[in-house]
Amino acid sequence: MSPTSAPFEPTDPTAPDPPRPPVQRTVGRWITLRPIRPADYDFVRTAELSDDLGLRWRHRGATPSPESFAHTLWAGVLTQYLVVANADHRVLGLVSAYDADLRAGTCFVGFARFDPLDRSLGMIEAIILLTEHLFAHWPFRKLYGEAVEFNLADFGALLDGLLVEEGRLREHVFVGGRHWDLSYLALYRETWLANRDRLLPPWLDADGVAAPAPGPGSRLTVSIPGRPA
Amino acid sequence: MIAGPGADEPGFDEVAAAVASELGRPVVDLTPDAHLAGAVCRHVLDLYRLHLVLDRWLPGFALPEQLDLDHATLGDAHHYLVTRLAQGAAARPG
Repeated sequence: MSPTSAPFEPTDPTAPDPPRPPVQRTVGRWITLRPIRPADYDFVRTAELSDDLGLRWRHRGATPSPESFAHTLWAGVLTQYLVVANADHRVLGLVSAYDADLRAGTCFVGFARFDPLDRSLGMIEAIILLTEHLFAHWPFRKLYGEAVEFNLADFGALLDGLLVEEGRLREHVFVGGRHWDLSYLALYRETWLANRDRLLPPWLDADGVAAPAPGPGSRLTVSIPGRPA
Repeated sequence: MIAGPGADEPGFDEVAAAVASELGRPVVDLTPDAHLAGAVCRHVLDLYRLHLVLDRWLPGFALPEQLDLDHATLGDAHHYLVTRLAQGAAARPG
């Protein structure tokens, strides 16, 4: 730099805008995705072992000790959050991405609603935020979810053009005195990109780009109750 | 186009047309008496998307949690939207 040159060049008004930095989005309309703290363990363990979730979620009726629970809570986890209501800070549930395989470009996603009577849209929003987070910041080709036969009906809305069933293990899960099928569902990156702009609130993306710009199209999500024990 | 607080309040027909277009419902079915659960929204994902439609007038707007969605109508949703717009309250979280 010569002694007479200006320290900063004037902005060229014809230059394209610089790319916006990537952002992480964990706050939505109804909920915030909050990282789990050690102080949450007892609460989460109680919820996961409740009559409502005990058979449907990962432990399937078993009661791990507090010590082993803390380990299994994080086994294979890539990212995991509590779903906290913005209005009153209630913990609505948990969303988790686990068993990521970066070579294959895949990852499993699971979610648990702690209150079966909760009819808010918080868990839907949580799954959408997590899905966007995963596709935006890891090069996954697709996300997997597992659904035991008796949970599959919960995915009716998502199976309508968003999730595809890629496999089914016949009579794989024993619970309630009988065996049930276990379905493997998938959400492809292309499907997400074609649909994300109709699922993410426009104001959520106002300050940055969380994922590649979507093509023309519509919307959606992933998820799964019942991750492996 | 997204409008913020203070924007013109939409008429019911304007909201119904936007909802019909987004959710793929016949606009003639979307009367003020049409129930959100069933006639307007086939499932919970549609209800989520209904909020994205209402974002066009008030970003971040959410139907009141006290609203019984088993009985609430599209007319109720329109009513609460225009009420919030009239209040001029920013509904965006954060």
